[in-house]
Amino acid sequence: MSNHPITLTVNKSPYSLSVAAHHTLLDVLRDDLGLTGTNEGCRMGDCGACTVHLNQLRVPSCLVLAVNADGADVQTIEGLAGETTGEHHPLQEAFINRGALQCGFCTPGMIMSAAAILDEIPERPLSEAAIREALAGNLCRCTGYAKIIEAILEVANG
Amino acid sequence: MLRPFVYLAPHSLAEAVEMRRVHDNANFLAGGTALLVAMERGQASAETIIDLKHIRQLREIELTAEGELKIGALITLREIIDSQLIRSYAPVLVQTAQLTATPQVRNLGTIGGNIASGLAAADLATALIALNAHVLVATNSGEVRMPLNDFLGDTKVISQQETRIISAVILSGARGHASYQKLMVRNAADVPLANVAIWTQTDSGQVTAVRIAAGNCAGRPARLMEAESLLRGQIITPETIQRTALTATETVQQTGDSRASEAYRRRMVGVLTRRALTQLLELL
Ligand SMILES: Cc1cc2nc3c(=O)[nH]c(=O)nc-3n(C[C@H](O)[C@H](O)[C@H](O)COP(=O)(O)OP(=O)(O)OC[C@H]3O[C@@H](n4cnc5c(N)ncnc54)[C@H](O)[C@@H]3O)c2cc1C
Ligand code: FES
Ligand code: FES
Repeated sequence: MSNHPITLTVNKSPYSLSVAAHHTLLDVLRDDLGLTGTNEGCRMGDCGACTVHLNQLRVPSCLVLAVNADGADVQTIEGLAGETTGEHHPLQEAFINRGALQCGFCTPGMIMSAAAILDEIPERPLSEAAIREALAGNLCRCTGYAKIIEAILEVANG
Repeated sequence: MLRPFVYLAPHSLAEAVEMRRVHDNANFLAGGTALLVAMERGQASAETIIDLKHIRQLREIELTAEGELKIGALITLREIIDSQLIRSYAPVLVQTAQLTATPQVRNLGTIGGNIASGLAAADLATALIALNAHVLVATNSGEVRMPLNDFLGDTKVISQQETRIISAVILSGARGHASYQKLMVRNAADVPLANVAIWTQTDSGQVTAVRIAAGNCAGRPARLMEAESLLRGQIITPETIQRTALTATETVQQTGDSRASEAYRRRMVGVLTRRALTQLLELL
């Protein structure tokens, strides 16, 4: 076993930590930094509940070793909310207004993916088909996806 | 939770090879999307992880002076999709990467890891076999260049004894036309139930060169030589497509598992061969 010093920026705040080599970014966010908005589902890259932005790219944080986040800029669901005025991000508002969640377990990952999709696909209007394909890495066992897609369409296309 | 291991981060290939030599039970790490999942499931274990991500030379995509396309082993699936150079040289690789894994996983998973992961129907590896790709491999006795087909034929790299680090994938020769076909349970984000990649070169309609590859052939993607020889010298027509597809089904060696039976996979290799050739007929 080995421990490693790392520095990283999470939601604009700098951190210096000592992390165990076998701990993932997900472990560190939840257990060391107390940022439990990022959820742990499968730990195998399948469900997307742990999705965060690592240097502006969405990744499953369960498949990133914390040592590999050394020097990185990380954004989690907590940072999306407080980004400007501490108010909800438009995607969060749209999810609430449209009832795009039930148990809410998938929601943080779903919203982090949705936020990435708004940047990844510049074409407007954004099509439903494009959103469905881009959400392939986020599973939801409750909603049937329809309202999630509607919420993203609303934010993308107004 | 992952089991504890020692983490090493070499900055050169030579350093990585040396670390592998002195540590037993060590495994290389690239994007981690295959290895960490296998470790989480208890299907792989490692006392030492040697992270390749700090070796800068593995991150380049370049057109060499000889006109070959050299893709560094650490290039991610996402970077393949975004690369204009790869898109113009081998568009089928872009299409294949777009059909691989999930958008999040594509931001991490690499071309080298796709080849070395030992997945029986790894998407990129199957397409690369049809493209006759070569790999540059760093070993204890220096760097060697070999056809990917030979590299995969050796052993499953995930349990390798000898040190073999892929540094780059190389494409060369005639560009031709290629098609990649993949069958999944879902429409996306799944490893193939069956897959087929076909590359052809034609001269006024006649097939002068052809390579057909399928995954799940005794644990790896491999060429379908009988189907290839049937098509070579022919003109692609609905009739030759049908015969080639039938030969593919009759001669391919597939392995069955809990996801699909051997018989189903053989049938599907035929279906996917037909789809690929039909697409190529439209392209020509
Ligand atoms: C949700 C999910 C869906 C997936 N879907 C697909 C799919 O549809 N199709 C598919 O093909 N794969 C799929 N995968 C598997 C995997 O993501 C890809 O195969 C990926 O390309 C592996 O690359 P990596 O860099 O993450 O490999 P790693 O996990 O880093 O490495 C895998 C193995 O290869 C070895 N290795 C890595 N790089 C090198 C190198 N340069 N030289 C020598 N050895 C090396 C490692 O030691 C390890 O044993 C999926 C994975 C997940 C989690
Ligand atoms: S917990 Fe990371 S993808 Fe499921
Ligand atoms: S709201 Fe329950 S999993 Fe999506």
